[in-house]
Amino acid sequence: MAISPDVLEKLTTEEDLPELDLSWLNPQDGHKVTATRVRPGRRGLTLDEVEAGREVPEHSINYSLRPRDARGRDNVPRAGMYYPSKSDTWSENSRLLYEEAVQRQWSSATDIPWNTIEPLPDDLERAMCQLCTFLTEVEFIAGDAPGQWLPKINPDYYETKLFLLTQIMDEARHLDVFRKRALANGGGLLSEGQSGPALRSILDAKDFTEMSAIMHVFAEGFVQSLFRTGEYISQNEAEKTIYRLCAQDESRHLGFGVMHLKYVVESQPWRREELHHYLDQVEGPLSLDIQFGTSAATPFFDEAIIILAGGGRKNIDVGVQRLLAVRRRQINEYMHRLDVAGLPERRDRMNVVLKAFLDPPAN
Amino acid sequence: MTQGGVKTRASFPSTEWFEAVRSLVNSDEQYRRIGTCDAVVGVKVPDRQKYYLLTFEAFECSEVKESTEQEVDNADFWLEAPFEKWKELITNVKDNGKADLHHTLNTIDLEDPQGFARSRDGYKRDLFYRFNQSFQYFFDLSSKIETTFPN
Repeated sequence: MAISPDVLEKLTTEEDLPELDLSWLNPQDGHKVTATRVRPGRRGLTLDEVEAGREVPEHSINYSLRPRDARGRDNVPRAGMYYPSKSDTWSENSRLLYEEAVQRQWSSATDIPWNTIEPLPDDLERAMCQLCTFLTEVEFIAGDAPGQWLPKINPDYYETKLFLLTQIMDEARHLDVFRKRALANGGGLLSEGQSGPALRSILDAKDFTEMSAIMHVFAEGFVQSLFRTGEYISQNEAEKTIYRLCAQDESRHLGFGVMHLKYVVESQPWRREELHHYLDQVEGPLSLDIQFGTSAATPFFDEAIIILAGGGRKNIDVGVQRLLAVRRRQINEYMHRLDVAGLPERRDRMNVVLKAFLDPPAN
Repeated sequence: MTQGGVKTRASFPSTEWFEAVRSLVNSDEQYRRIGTCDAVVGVKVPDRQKYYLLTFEAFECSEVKESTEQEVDNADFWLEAPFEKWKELITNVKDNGKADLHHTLNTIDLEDPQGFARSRDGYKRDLFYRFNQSFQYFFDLSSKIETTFPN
């Protein structure tokens, strides 16, 4: 096909350069490129290193996607209505936890020694599968909940956004690894739970701190204990590894929540009563579980733990004793974390059923 | 750990024993792949009046040293058990190449009503769980040492 002379001329003639703005190269505020360069440390080039000495504003009127420290522009469309204060979503360890999460990722496909799983007695296999069914269900909530809050995190507090994104990845992996375990040895997914008010309330939270207090500190604290219990009652190396790795991930989420709560208590002390109200709402349903011996999440959940902890249905008594020992540990650790967060008075205000498990305070 | 084909021998508890494990960990690519680990961990063998501090930084165990009980109390958390329990743990690791199902750090922790991992700070004790795979790997590597136990 012949090329027309006009097209040929265009292709062979250099076009005039368009007039460029280039104002960004020489901003009016006179920022200079200095010789200060950030070098990687022992952990590589981390956020803590590049952000060292940089201030995080206490308040922000940023409603666009302007990254912190970038110059704003006029006439930029708003991208969202974000929380305006640092206290609303900040946690002092979010950079550290983000980097740690990235470094300590693992794969359910290749990091679990699946070949160590061997046929188990039916009661133990079904109990493990019931536990995994429950945990798979719980992980849907644990992933959905932080996802709901991402659009409300101000770009000026991007560290929180990054941390929540790692949490979502962690929860995706937990969801997949528990499903794999349920399907890997013939037991399969068993009974769906009746997701009780404590779990549903995480999704219904109306405020970030409310969500963090009840999900990160309360629920994930208890799930972390549950994962450690899972490791304790595991029947093979594969399950040991699954629960150990999941407990690690959960501890990061918990760590974010404790430090967020601490930041709120210190920077917005007038919210103390509000925080207790959130905890009142979630302690109640758990206390009912303990009183009546069933879980709000699923009546079969505690029974599965009892069977596994006792080593089978013939040792129910042993299983019950071990479950109660774990419960005591859970509640004491919950209180210790609230001490760190700056809510020591929770010891007196805790739901009476839970309070019965508390050890005397350390001197 | 072999040096010129000879396995390292060390007595537990001693700084030499922890140094030997530290050396193994710091030259182990698999340990690095677990990810960063940052914690100051105490070890208490109270019935032998022996106390140690292990410092984990980034991808290595940067320091081990004998210490006082008071210093160990200020660690992020400490692992505390009587000598016979430590001996059982280390012997089990040696016999199996790694802790068996009943001797992992977490299992020992949950079996002890007072806990194997203890701390004065609820947030810092969570480091035991947050980096548990790294700490388990540390103690599992002791299978490569010829450990002796004083009477």
